[in-house]
Amino acid sequence: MKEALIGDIGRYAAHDGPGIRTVVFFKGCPLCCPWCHNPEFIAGRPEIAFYPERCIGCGDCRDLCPETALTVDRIARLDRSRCTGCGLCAAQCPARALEQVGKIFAVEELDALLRRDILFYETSGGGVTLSGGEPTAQLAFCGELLQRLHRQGIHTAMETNGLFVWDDFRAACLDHLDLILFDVKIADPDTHRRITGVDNTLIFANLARLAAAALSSLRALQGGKNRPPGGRGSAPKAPGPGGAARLAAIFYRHRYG
Amino acid sequence: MTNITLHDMTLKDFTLESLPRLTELRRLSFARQPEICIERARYITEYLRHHDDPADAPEVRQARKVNYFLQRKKPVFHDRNLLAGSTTSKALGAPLFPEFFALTLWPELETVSSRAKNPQKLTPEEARELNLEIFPFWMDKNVLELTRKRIGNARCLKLFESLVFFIAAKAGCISHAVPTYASMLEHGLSGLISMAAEREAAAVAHASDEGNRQADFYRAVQISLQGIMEYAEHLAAEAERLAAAEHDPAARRELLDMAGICRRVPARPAATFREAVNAIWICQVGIHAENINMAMSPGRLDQLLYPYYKRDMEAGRLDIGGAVELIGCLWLKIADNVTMVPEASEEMFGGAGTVPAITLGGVDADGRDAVNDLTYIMLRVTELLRIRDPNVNARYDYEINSPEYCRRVSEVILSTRAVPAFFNDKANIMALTGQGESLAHARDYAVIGCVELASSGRDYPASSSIMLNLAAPLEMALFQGKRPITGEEQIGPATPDPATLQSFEQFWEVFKTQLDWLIEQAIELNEAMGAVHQQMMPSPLLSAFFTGPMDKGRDLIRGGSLYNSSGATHIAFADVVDALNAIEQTVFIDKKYGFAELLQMVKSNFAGPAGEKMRLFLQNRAPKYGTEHPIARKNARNIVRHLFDLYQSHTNYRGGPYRPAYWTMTNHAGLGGITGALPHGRKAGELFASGITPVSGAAPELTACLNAVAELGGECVPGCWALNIKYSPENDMAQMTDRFAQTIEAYFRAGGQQVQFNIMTYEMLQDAKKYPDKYPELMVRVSGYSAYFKDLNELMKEELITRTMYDLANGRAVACPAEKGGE
Repeated sequence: MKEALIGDIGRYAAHDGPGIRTVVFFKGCPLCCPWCHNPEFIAGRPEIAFYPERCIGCGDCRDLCPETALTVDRIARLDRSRCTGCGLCAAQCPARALEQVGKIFAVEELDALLRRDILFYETSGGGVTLSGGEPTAQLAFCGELLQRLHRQGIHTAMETNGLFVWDDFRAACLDHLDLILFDVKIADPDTHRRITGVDNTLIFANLARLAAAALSSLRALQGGKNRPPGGRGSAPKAPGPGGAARLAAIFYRHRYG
Repeated sequence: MTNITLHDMTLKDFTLESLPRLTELRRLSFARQPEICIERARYITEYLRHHDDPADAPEVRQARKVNYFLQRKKPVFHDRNLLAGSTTSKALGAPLFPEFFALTLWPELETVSSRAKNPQKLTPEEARELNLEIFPFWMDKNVLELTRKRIGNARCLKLFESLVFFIAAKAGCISHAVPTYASMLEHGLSGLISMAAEREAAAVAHASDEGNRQADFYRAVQISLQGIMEYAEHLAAEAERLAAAEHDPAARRELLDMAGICRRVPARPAATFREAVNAIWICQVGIHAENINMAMSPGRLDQLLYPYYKRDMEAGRLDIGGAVELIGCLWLKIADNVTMVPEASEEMFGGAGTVPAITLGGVDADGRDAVNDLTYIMLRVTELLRIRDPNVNARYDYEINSPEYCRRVSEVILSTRAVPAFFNDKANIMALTGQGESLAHARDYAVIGCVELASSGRDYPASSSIMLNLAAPLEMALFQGKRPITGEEQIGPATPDPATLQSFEQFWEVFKTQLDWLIEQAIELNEAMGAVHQQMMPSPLLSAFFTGPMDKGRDLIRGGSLYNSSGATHIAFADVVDALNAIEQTVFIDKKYGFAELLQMVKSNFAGPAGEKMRLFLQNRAPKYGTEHPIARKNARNIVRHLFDLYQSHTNYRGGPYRPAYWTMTNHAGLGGITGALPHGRKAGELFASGITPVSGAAPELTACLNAVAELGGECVPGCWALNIKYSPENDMAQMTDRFAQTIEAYFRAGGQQVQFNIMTYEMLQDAKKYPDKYPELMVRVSGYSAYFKDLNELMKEELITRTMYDLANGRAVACPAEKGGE
C-alpha cells in the first residue's frame, strides 16, 4: 500500500491550472526558498501548528504530550525542539489551537477524496493538481495516484520545481500528466544555490527534456480533441504567466498523442 | 434555441434610464409606507351579518361572500402603471382577513401606525370601525376558534399555541398554490362561466346527493367569477371617468386604453399580449378577494404569455421595449400588497413580502427547452427592478437548457446580489414523479411561494400546512419528553433517560419516538383545521383556475384538484443533525463524555471553564453536516428518509399524502432565539441554520458543503428545500460568472434541488445593520424569499451576517470578523 505525507488539500482552487481544481499539497521539499508561499510544507515530516489566539489554556495538550513538549502558562507553549509532530495533542485540542500539519494518506483514500469533486471538474474543465511542497519528492505515490486519476478521466496537473531524477519521473508520472507547471526559481546557478540551497543543473536538464517531450506530443496532438471527457465545460485553457517566481510553465499533453 | 430571436439576451440597452415609467413606479414602491386596508374585512362582514344564508352549501356561501366584496371593491388607479386593478384600496396595502389572524391586530389598533419596526398605517376611523363593527363579529368565527369548538383544548392545539413546537399554518392561510390561467386566456371568464353552467345543468339532471353537491360547486364558480368580471367593469368605468378629467393627453390615452382592455378582459378571450397580462393581473386580484395574500403564485408566466407575445411581435403590434415595460408594470403590481403583521409576529415573519412566485425557463411538458425570448425579458426586468416581490425563480435542466441561459441567470444573480433562485429540473421533476405525478405534469412544475413545487394548476399542495421545529423532539429525547422551555410539564412520551442507553441506535429510536409523536400531533391539528376550512373557507374562485375541480365538480378544499397533498416544512434540520453527530461521536464512539455529563453541560448552557471546554470540543471536533464525514452524512440521510416515510404514510382530508420540505422563512432565527443549548456546542439562544443550509461555520469547504446537501435531494424531498449560499463579490465579473455557473451545474448534477444566494460580505451587512439609511434598497435572500435588509428584525439581521461566506476564488469559508466599534 502506497502512502504519502500530505500537508493540505485545497478543493475548489482557481489558480493552479484550468477550471475548478483540487490541489494536493505534498509535504516536504528539497528546496528552501525564502519566498515560499507554503513554508509549512517544506519539512518532510508532520508538524504541529499553534494558534495562540484560539487557545483557552485548558492544559489537555500538556497532559497528553509524551515528549513533555507542551507547557501551559495562561496559554499553551510548544517547545519545538522536543515536539515529534505525533499529533496526539491536536486531535484532542477543543479549540483547534493546535493542529497537525501533515497527514499520512493511503493512495486509495486520497483518490476517493479527489473523486468527490469530479462533477466540479467536469463542468469547469478542471481537475487535480499535485503541488506542495514538492510532489516529486514522493514520486512513486504521485505516479500511482496520477494513474488512478487518469483512469477515471480526470485532468491532471503538477506544480514542480524540477528537481527529480528524470528516468524515475518519466516512468512514474509523465504519461499521466496533462499539464506541468514547472517552476524555475532562478536562472543563475550560483544564485540558485545560494538562495535555495540546491544546484539547478538537474532542474535545467529536466526542463529541456520536458520541453522536448512536450513538443513531440504537441505535434501529435490533433486540434479540438483535448476536451475533458464527460461534462460540457469549457476546454482547459493554457495558463497565463504565473507569479513572479514562475519562470516557465510548459503546457504538456500526451493523452491523445 | 428555437424560441430565441433576441440578438442580445442580456437586453442591456433597456435600462431604467430608458424606461422612465418603471423608474418612477420603482421609486414609488420604495417610498410608499404600507397601509392596512380594511375594505375586504368590511364587506365580507357586512355580507355575513345581513345576507348570508347558512342553509346554502359552503361553496355557495363563500362565492356569494367574495362576489359581494368584488362588486363593492373600489376601482383605484394610484399611479401611471399600465395595468388596471389593485389588490387593495391602498397604494401599498396590507389587507385584513378576519377569517384568519386579523384579530391579532385588535390590541394594536392604536399603535400599529406608529410602532418602531415596520409600522403599517391605519386611519383612526378605520381603527374604530375594526374595533366596533368588524372584529367583534369574528371573535368566535375565525379558523382557530372554530377549530377549538371542534376539538376543544386538545393537546395538539395547546402545542401549537405555545408556538415553540410547530406552527399549524392553516390558522393563517392555505393559499400557497399555482393556478393556471391558460384556460381563462383562451376562453375568457365568460367562457369558463358557460362551461360551469352547462356542467351545473348536467349535475342537476343527475338528481343525486353528489349531483346536487356538484351543482352547488358549479354555481359557486359562476358566482365568484362574475364578481371578477364586475370588478373589471368597474375598473373600466373608473378609468373612463378619470380620462374625462385628465388634461395630459398621454395620460388620458393610457386611461382610455386601460378602460378598453377592462371592457374586454378577463371576460372575453385575450387577443393581445397586453390584454393577456392585464387579464392575468385582474384574476390575481380576484383570487386575493377569496384567498389571503400569501404565496399565491402566478407560476410559469414566460410559458403562459409567450404565444401572445410572439403573435404581437410578429404582427408588429409590440416591440421589446414595450414588452419590458409591461412586464415591469406587472412585477410592480404583484408587489402592491404586503401581509398584515402584528408586532408579536415580527420575530417569526418580519420583513417578509407575500412571496408570489414566478417561475422561468426549464423544460416544457414534452421535455423540450422551454426558454424563450420572454424568459430573457423577465430576467432583465428582475435585474432592473431589484424588488422583493415577485419571488422570481429560474428552472434549469443542465442537459436540455443552454449553457448561455445558465450563465445569464448567474449574471442576474450576481448583479442583483440575490435573485433569482435556481431550481434543478432533473431533481425536482424526479421529486414530483415520485409523488405519482405523470412525467408531463411533473415537467410543468412551478415554484410556490418560497421553494415548494407544484405542477402548474394541477396540484393543490397546501404547502405551508405545518412548520415543525425539529429541535423540539431532540430536546424531548434528551430530557425524557420534557423541554427546558416548557419546564416540568410532560410534553411527549416519557422516554428513557439517555444516560441509561447503551448505543447510539437506541438514542436514535428515542429521538424518533418523540419526533413521530410530535408529527402526529401536528397532523391531527392540520386535519381538524382542514375540516374547518372545508366548512368556512372553500375556494370556488381559485378552483376555476385549476385542472380537476371543473371535471370533478368538487372544490379544491374537498380534493377537487388532480393532485392533492399537504406540506410540512422543518426548522433546525442542520442543528439537529449536528447534535446527533456530536452525541454519536463523542458519547458512543469515542466515549469521551458520558451522556449524563453531556446533558448536565447542555442544561447549564455549558457554564464555567469546563463547560466552555466541552462546548468548544463539540463545536470543533464533532462531525458536521455540510462536510463529507460519514457519520454526518448518515445522520442527515436518516432524518430525511425517516421524515419522508413518516409523512407519506399519512393521508390528508383531501385524500393526498403529506410532503416534507426544508425551508424556514425567518423561523430559524425566531425559534433559535428561544431554544436552549444543544449537544453540538450551540449555546442557548443562538440562531438555527436556515432551510437545509449547514450551520454557520460548520462547512468550511464549498464543494464538500454542496455535495453533502445535494446527496439528500430527489424523491425524499418532494416539498423542496432552501439552500442559502453566501459568496463574497469579486472584481472580475466575467470570471466570477463562469465559476458561479459551473458550480451550480455541478451541484445540480450531484442532485441538489434548489440554491439561492447572497452576494455580499460580512462587512457590508454589518455596515448595513449599523447604518440602515445607507442601504435603503438592500435586498437579501432569507430562506426561500427576498426581503429588504432594513425591514428584518435584529435576530434575522444577525443570522444573515453570520451565515458562512465562501470565497469563489478558493471555495473556502471566510471567517466572520468580529464587529468593530460596537453598537
